Amino acid sequence: MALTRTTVTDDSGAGTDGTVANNAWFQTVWDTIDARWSRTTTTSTGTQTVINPSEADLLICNNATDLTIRSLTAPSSPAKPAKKLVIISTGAGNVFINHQDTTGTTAANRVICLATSGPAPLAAGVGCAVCVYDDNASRWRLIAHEQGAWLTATYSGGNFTGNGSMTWTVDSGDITTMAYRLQGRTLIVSWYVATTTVGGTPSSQLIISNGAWGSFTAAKTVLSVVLANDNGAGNTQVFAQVSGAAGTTIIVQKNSGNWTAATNATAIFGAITFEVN
Amino acid sequence: MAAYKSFTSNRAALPDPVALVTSLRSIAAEVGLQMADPQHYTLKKNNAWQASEISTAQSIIDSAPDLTPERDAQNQIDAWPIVWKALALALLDQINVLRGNDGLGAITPTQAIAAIRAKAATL
Repeated sequence: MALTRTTVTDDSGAGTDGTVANNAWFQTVWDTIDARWSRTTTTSTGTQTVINPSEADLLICNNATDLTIRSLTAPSSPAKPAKKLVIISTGAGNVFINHQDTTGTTAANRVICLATSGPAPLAAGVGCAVCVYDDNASRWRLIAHEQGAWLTATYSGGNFTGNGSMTWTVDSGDITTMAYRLQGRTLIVSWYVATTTVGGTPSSQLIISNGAWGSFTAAKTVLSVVLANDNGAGNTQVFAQVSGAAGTTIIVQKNSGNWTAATNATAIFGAITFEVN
Repeated sequence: MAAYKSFTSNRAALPDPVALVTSLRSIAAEVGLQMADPQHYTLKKNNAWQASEISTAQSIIDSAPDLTPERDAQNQIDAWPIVWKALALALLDQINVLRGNDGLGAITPTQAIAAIRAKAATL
């Protein structure tokens, strides 16, 4: 909100009817300026169409479970170019800031994030972000983001599949690590998955869908050397690949041949770094 | 529903994973092994672990043979890709031609692979 204007009466010249600009008067001015900086806290959870920081400079997210923010209330008039809003997670739930989310939101309240294909994640209790209001574009802009800690998506067996008629069963307990970290538009995905089952008609690709890594899509084609243990035969070099054509999968593939149909005997270990949209 | 059980061991060296899994599957055919280091293991089976199974598994883990370079080589031989098998068996075919010329019987692929494994154990 605008600073409170302290009324000043111009002296008529008589020296008796103007505002006395004494220490008390100046203290009123300074106190008004000091009050300019403020903080607000939200404990909202789930998906929120809009979070209103109420002109505050600091938004504390003390959500007990995950919070997804579709939009943030824009600063009120008059225009406040670069009005800053620092968002910090202090609660037990993660915070996700959606990019230009149009679902039920007012355009001027939307946030332009660094990565556009998935939400900017703030890990519970440590993640933080800085937004500034671009009054020219009438949007918040996420100008700084620190995820704070690696995140693990909620387990879904459907995120792990085989190509063709091959099946790949990954139980939740098979996953020691399946985590991701977003920095700018750089995503690092790391996995340590063992005692999985390959079935059906053996084929060449074990596929990890982006539901397991924040739902982002790849912007560049990247290939990374990783490790696998096919049917307990010992760790060997294989490769992981994402496709830059808005890829939604990490494909783990042997250098030659198909994976072996085996029960609880297939493991993959590795990480891949790539740009996301 | 998959049941996981963590085990620890006082082993100083990694066990031969192939031999270990073979032995563990005497408990249940589908037992799976995660081996982080010589001291920490996670086993997986389809149904809840029974006390007797836990005891058996612990004993198997503790007594499994160490993964020596020789055993590792044998495991790799057993998992040879087509390219290595083709090389070995193509050479074997020529050896058998020569053996035949001298009236000797042919060596079978199984015998040849066994011989290679045996040689790996001595190196």
